[in-house]
Amino acid sequence: MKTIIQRTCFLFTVLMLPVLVVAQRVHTGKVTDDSGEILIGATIGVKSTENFTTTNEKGFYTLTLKVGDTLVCSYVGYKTAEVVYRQASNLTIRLESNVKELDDAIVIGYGSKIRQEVTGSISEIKMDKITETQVADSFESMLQGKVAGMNIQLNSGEPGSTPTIIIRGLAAVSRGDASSVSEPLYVIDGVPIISRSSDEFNITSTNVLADLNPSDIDDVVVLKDASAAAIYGSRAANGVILITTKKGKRGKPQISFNARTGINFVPQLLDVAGGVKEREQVSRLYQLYAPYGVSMPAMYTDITNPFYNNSSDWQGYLYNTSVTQDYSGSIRGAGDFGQYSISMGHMDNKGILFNTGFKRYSTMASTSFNALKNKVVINNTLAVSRTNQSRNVGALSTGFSSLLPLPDAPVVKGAEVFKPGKDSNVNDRIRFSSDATLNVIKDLVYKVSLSLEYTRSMHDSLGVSRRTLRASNTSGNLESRNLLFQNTVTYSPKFGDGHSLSFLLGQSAEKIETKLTEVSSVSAAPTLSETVKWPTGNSIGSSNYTASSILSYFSRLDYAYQQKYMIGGSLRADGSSKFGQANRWGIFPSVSVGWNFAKEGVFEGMDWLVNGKIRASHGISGTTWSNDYLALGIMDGGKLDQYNSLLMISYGGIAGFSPSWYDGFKNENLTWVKSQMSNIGMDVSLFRNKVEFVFDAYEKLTKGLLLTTSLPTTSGYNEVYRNAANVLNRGLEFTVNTNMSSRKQFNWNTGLNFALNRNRVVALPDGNADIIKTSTSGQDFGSVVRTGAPLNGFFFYQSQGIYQTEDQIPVNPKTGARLVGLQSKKLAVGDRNFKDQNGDYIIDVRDRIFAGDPNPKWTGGWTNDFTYKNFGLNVISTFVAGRKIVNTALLDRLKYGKGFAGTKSMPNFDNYSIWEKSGDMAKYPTLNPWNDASQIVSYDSEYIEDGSYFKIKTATLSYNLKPKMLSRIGVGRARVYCTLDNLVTFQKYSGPDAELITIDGFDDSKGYPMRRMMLFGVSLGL
Amino acid sequence: MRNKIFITCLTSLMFVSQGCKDWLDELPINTVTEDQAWKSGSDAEGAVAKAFAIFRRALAGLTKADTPSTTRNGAWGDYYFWGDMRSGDWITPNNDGDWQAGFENRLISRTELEPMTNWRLFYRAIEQCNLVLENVPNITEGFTAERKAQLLAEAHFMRAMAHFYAARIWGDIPINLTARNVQPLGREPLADVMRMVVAEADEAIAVLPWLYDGTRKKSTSRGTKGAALALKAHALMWLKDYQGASDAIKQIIDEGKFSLAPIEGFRDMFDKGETNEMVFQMFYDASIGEFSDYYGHIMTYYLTNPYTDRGNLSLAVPRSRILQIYPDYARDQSDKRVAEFFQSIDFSVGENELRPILADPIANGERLIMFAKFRKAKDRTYNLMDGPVPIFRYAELLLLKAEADARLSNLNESLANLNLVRARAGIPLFEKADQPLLIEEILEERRRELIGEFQRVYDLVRLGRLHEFNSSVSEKDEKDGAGFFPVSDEAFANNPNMTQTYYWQFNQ
Amino acid sequence: MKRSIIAILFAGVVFICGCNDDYFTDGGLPDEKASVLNVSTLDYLDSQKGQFDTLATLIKLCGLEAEVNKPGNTFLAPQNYSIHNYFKLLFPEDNWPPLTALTAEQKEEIAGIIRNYIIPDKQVERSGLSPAYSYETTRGGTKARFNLIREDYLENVNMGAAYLVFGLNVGAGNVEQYRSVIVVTSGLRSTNGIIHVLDSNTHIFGFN
Repeated sequence: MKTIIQRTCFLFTVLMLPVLVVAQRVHTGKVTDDSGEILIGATIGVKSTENFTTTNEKGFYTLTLKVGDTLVCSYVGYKTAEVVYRQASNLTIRLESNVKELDDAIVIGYGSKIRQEVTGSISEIKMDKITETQVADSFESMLQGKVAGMNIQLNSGEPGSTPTIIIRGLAAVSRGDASSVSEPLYVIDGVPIISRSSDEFNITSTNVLADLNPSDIDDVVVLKDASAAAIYGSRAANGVILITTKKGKRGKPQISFNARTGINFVPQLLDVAGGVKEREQVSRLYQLYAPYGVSMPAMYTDITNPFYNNSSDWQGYLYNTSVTQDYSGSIRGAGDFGQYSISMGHMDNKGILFNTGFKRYSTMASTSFNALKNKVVINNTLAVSRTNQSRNVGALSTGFSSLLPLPDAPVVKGAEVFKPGKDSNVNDRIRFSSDATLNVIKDLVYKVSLSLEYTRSMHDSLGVSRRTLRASNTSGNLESRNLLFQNTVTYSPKFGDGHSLSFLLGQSAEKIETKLTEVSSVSAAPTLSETVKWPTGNSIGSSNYTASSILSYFSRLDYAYQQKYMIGGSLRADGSSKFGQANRWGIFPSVSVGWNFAKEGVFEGMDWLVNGKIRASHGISGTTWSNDYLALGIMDGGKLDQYNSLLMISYGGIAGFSPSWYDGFKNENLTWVKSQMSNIGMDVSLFRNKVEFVFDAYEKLTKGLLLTTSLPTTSGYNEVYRNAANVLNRGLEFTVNTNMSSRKQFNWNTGLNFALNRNRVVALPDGNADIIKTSTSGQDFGSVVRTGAPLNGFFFYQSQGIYQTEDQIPVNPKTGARLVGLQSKKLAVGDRNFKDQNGDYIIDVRDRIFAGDPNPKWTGGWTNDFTYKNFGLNVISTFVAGRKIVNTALLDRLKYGKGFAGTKSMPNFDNYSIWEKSGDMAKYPTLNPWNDASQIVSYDSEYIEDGSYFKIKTATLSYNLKPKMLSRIGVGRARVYCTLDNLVTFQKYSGPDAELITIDGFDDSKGYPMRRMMLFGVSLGL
Repeated sequence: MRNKIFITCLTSLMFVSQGCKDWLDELPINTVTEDQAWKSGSDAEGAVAKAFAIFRRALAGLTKADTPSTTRNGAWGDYYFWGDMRSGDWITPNNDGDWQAGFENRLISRTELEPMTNWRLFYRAIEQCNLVLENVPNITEGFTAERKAQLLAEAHFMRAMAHFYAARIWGDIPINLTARNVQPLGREPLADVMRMVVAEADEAIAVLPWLYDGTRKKSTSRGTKGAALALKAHALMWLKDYQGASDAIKQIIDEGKFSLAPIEGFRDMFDKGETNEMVFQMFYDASIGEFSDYYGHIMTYYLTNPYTDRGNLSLAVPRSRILQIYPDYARDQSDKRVAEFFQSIDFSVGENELRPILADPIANGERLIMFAKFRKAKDRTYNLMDGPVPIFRYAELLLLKAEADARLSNLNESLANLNLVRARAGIPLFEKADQPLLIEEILEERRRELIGEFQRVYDLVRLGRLHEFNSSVSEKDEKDGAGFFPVSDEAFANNPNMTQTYYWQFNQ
Repeated sequence: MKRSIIAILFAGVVFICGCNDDYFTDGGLPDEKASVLNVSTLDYLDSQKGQFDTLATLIKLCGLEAEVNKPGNTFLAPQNYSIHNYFKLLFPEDNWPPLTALTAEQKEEIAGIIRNYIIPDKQVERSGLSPAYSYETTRGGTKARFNLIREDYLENVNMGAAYLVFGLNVGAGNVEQYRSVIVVTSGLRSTNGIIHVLDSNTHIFGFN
């Protein structure tokens, strides 16, 4: 597959190299801006021919011209100039600086709009400079800290893992263990793509968007408020991310190549007590708490046993530095015929943990042809990519006891750390989209587009137990197809003096199908074959299919008068197959208004105010959920249990259906989740665009979130689904961009953005009754969904220290019975002293208080870009403030059950104040492993910490080589750079990295820390 | 030229929008919706089989898949913990704190024991039967009328069985006889539950055949006339209607479909379930994928290498107690059941080899004798446990009838059946025709025959004599309901009418 | 140009050493001399009150101090919990008498059991053993056997730790029947011989 792509591209480049016809006289000239400053790299050439070149570092160009040729010269940020060549010897072309730089269009849904006339809250990020000097599994991590109100957090250091993206606050209520995230909609070149697979269908946990090569992306536009996103109505409530890929530009074909290698360093790891320290800690716990007759395992008592004579640092052995490589090349060009762009990329990111890594092979070809004298433009895009995430068979633990010898110790020579077998996760994606734009009559454009996206994930795992020689291999194949057919008619006449109208009418039909086939076999005899062999052992296969389709009609009307007063509105109707017949359609209107006050007469004289606009918008957009057939009341045929047995599927060989106990029964009136969002904003740019200031205030009320209420156990059902919860998100967003360029070729521009967000649950079913995230039988998450409190708010038991003496345990005067502890435990000295809020002498869910909000108050980023002559220093940092989190990773390591000794590594108890005897003023209660119920619980207000952090994410030092040297070897421009990634994190959090905290505020990094990377690279442009 | 293209685009637009009406009708193809689920005879067959599958999992135990808040992700084989744990005959050789708390009836405060107090899966089986009884009557094609009646009778039988089994564990339980009943139900007295069970059993007995075609194991793992009669008899014993119970079992004996398997047939009975003695059992068969692996079957906890890959014993009957339960074996090793129910393993061999089994079943020391009534083939697969889980057995029904007849004081009838079971075991017959002595001997014979077969605690609780055999339960405790399991916290969620058993309101 | 190169190097150094390995507190290895007791076997049993005080009093009651402290012998030490279970077996209603009030034949029986825990003039050590059985005779004249059993290491078969197993013949007459127990602490070197401490979970004093 890969080699075919390489060969076709090579052939293409050979064909495409234009051959210059040398007939006329060679001529030199200079290109300068209106103040005489030379312009390096301006493209200049003879119109409607191939004869184009760029100006060198002195601003000179050489061209072969004959009298009468019209020269076309263009440069970013300047107006394109056309000059007819008479006979003057050195022709200096002066380009007028394009003051109205704001005029270049910005991509919005289904078309583009002049920046002046934009009335929604839209942020644009130019990706070119970022992707040139940074490497990442997925482009999302490169957007960190770039857009106000968009908080991106990586949850695990494992290569290829999925980051969490939340735009303008969380708007998803979840009852079960996994907390659902309100994900934005991703659109590439106008086509919505598959960005997440639902849990039921997620067989390779690779990030679905990791197969998009960041170097292919030209710019990313984030539509944040309802009016901007309304055009994507039915899935745009959580924001839309419009991705535009790089296209060819006029002039010489732009051939670029970028090669970089990075070294990943191991960061701070979990603290471990080794050797005798572990023995002391284990024997201390046994000595303090072990009941009569229970003795330590033989590995601790048999001190002369040579096998356990170790103090092994397992993390040191399993984590070590690794190498990341990334190569990408592209050929792009444009002419009168249209444009072409071919790019290829390969990334090999080895993880710092043994045997983990992420590879990506991607290629993309996009062409557009102007036919019928520019009446019809046909664009075609074909993107093929494959990602391969390698992982260990059965999660490799890094937490073995330090008494066990390391695999390279002589006593266990020849032993392997991993179970024999393989675990391969390969994801392919083929994206084909083609559209034809027909300029019917002046200002009337009809566009029809068809796109087909096909993703396939293959998970093959083989695990062989050396002892029982049992080989169990599973092979899963997930295919999903996304078919989209869109028709839009746009009529945008300009009339009178400065009136401009734009009317869009469109229809789109989309169908998403997902098919999962899983086959597994457990065979007694070792098959050692990696594919599932039928009839050996018991082989079981199951397949699952789901599909949903959306039909939409949308329209938009925008009117602008002399780019001073703007008003826009859109109306959209969407039907989805996920809902019952009765309420399948949702109506999503939006309206927006803008006023460019800087153009008013009164501001005429003030040249320091370059541009100023006030805008407001209000609109409704929607979201659905991943389960496609919820409203139809599906039955459940049962699925394989954790050992691939059919106990849940058949009885005596006969299989049948039962209700799906979790989704409850048929519920006709499930419908769209609708978000009402209103947004007021102001964009101001001053001092000839040296300072740009954007301010936004928004309020988003999400109504009818899907929520379950639990049913009595005697019904047999667990839950029934209803559109029931409303969540309110309010926030402010500030962005300040400054670019100071002084004479001596030094300029420094910064991008500072910060956003405040507060979310609150406003309505719940059953008369706003509280919803405990899991049932009350004790082992729950500690979050309660309560009206008036933030989502995922911490509802913990209020800790009042530890019971130091017997008489501190309160006794109920009426019954003489003592306070009953959590999970009805009989309280003893050393247990956690929780406050009995309602005084009923029982600690249960009614005694919980609101203890903290895991949703970050302030999020933002600060980017600094210094350029001095040929040097460039770029520092990107992100910060989160006002967030409460819990270090559950550490708490899980302190929860000891009766079989704790020797099964996992122990933290060094000296670092933590742990209670042992009465009188100890300690933070952690007794660790008694034989206690009826463990006293270390994650929903204890004692362990709440401040989750704010300031992280310098990347620092890049780059140097542009002098073109003089390069031209000898035929290279147009070259840049050498060194980037440090995940440089340093300033935090008060006790765990390794405050960024690896999930949205519900718990440390879920599963022990895979975030690596630090030092990257060296060179980027060439011919 | 231009308008030609414009017209083509407009027509394609019309064509597409016309076809959109059914574009939004997406029906699942891998599963069915509620409306499609009750169409043909095979749907009914599948739904009834599913009710039995849910009941089988209810006996094995609740896991995290059923209730996210439960602590364990694998079932343990809870039928043992309900039926045998607190009988006082068992110890935990490796000093497992949870089992020890279970033996001492400390069932609430131990987080590990919490899943056993949750009856959710019993009510799922009941709901599945309610749906069958609601929907199957209006299915017409796909099966004969006679088969349809049998399926409805099996639904009645399984609904009664689920209520009966839950009532034996928790005492007073809610009765739920209507589909999709989300009302918060209170607990009904045990006697009312048992009367409902008898009524439902009668309805099933009238229609169910004695046996189905296919192997004896497959036939006795579904609802049959014999199973319904046995259920009725047991329920009547709880209602102390001894005459009714004796008559019910008499019908089973007279039919002659069941017989006592010889001692040599014990392996087929307890390992594969193929025997004429089983009346009702849960179906397990590894060859068609219905097996428990490491979790889900009690064999994991009392078998050790060479049967499973566990290195030591978690549950065992102490040697001194075996000799006390089987006095004939202690005297002259005459009771042939000891060799069938117990084995001694040579623990001096490493955990990773196939350990040899010693000849003398009680060769090992006090805490090292393995309970081996249910075994599995000794092979390298170690797990894949598919031993049957018996609910009613012919020998057990004979002893039940013997007890009923003894209480009705027709002692000869009772002695005859008691001695059938004793003769099979190779121990001398019992002659004393004295009612109290005979009833005591029948209870002891049930203890010998049904050890580790999930009946002992129910017998003791039915007779109110658990406190005599379990030192942590006093007579007063037992009167306050200590013999029954506590109701789980989850049953109180969204259910104000739920009440806790008196004893468990104050004790841990 | 120079300045920028120095800047890069400085950033690199800060970067690399940022991840030092102070996360692992190395407690070191237990010192070998921990298993050398420099006291006689009986004095060691007296010193370990929690584990062996019942055993020590029984040895003194039966007058076997000399046997236990005989140089060059191996002593297999049952722990208190094993003896506790032994008395629970003899007196099921928990009404066993205080040790001093034991009758003569009870003492004689206990002395016989203790003699079976002594291997005279042979120091059985881990180095001399293998998974195959090696036979000895105890001070009480009954046959005993020793062997090693190996565990797995990270699912690599038989590459894990090895433990000693002590088996005693309890069969009557010429039929040999061994009951075995795992040694939980092996190779303690007293001034007069080797001590192996026996597992207390399943082993009952006197192998019953």
